[in-house]
Amino acid sequence: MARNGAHTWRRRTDRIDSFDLSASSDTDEVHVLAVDDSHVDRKVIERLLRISSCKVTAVDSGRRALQFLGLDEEKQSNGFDGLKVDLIITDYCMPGMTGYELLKKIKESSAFREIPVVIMSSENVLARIDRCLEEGAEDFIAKPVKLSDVKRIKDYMVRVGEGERRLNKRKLRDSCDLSSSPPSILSSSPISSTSSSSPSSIPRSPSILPATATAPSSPSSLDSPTRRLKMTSSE
Amino acid sequence: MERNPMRRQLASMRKSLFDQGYLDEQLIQLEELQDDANPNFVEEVVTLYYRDSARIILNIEQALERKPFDFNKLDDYMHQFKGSSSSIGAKKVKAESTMFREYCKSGNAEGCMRAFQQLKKEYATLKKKLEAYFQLARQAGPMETACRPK
Repeated sequence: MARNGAHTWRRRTDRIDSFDLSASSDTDEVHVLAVDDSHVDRKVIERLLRISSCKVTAVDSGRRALQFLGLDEEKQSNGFDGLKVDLIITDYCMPGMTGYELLKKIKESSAFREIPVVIMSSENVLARIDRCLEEGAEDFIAKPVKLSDVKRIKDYMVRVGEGERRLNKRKLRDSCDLSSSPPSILSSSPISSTSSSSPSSIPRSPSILPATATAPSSPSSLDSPTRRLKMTSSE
Repeated sequence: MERNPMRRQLASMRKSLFDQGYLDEQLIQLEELQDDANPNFVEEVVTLYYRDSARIILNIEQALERKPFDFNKLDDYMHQFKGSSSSIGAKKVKAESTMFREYCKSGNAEGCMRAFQQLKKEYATLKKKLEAYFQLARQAGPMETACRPK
């Protein structure tokens, strides 16, 4: 399965990298923060993510997600402690704070706006999808979530995450010791198991799979999320 | 060996659950998440579902005792219920949830009550079938999940 390939690839790049990451991120594994008020859905998404070689922290509300990130208190995290979150996947409909509101809070935060956020929803309302994507959501998954959804998210997110980690390190170290430029590493990624396109486009390129142009015109150039929404499904 | 007849029975039980529309593709998704380290994942999720959804059903029951109906609240509860049902592949239950929500949206109190009765029937039926299935699975030994119904 491609997830093993992804794991190996990440290790390889860490070796190429001259920085010692072991202090900052304790493992190569992608760490996902999953937010869902449904206990059943949390259990499922947790398993989906674990089986996809991700570390998972699952919380039951937007509030708790912000607390976990350290956004609730005024704790400024530079993103390099051991609990660094690489991806946030959140349900849309939740009591208290919706996934959309959580998304906004994250994108408003200087410390965390770079973290890709994926929205899950059982209600595939186009306006809702557009709104989320416009607010900076990386992708939109229709519930019930399948293994292929998680795999897809993880595959492109690893590339995005690696690129951003390099950017962050460059900023932090204030030097350009990186001999290898991020784009070339990303584009030489062997993870072409998904039909992902544009490996050199780094953050915020949610569109992945070539889409059948069935989606009505939306402000963003994203066909794939709506295509994946199974709007013509037998549901 | 005794396990073979049991496994055959198990496979046929499983097949009829799908053929008769009680379960859909999502349950297969869950089965694929089972492995040697997590051999009972599906049963765990289903158990969790019945525990959680029982609470929601109770909430709905109580809400239906308060007249006039708060259709928004009822719809809210059913949205949660439908979501969980969908996550375990409970196809008929999910369909009944949709019916109920339609009646909520059109403010049809009679329809709501009828739909709810129907939903509870399907919910109980599925529960019994799944309980029997998991019990047999435990007796039969490691489950054969490779066979897809279609």
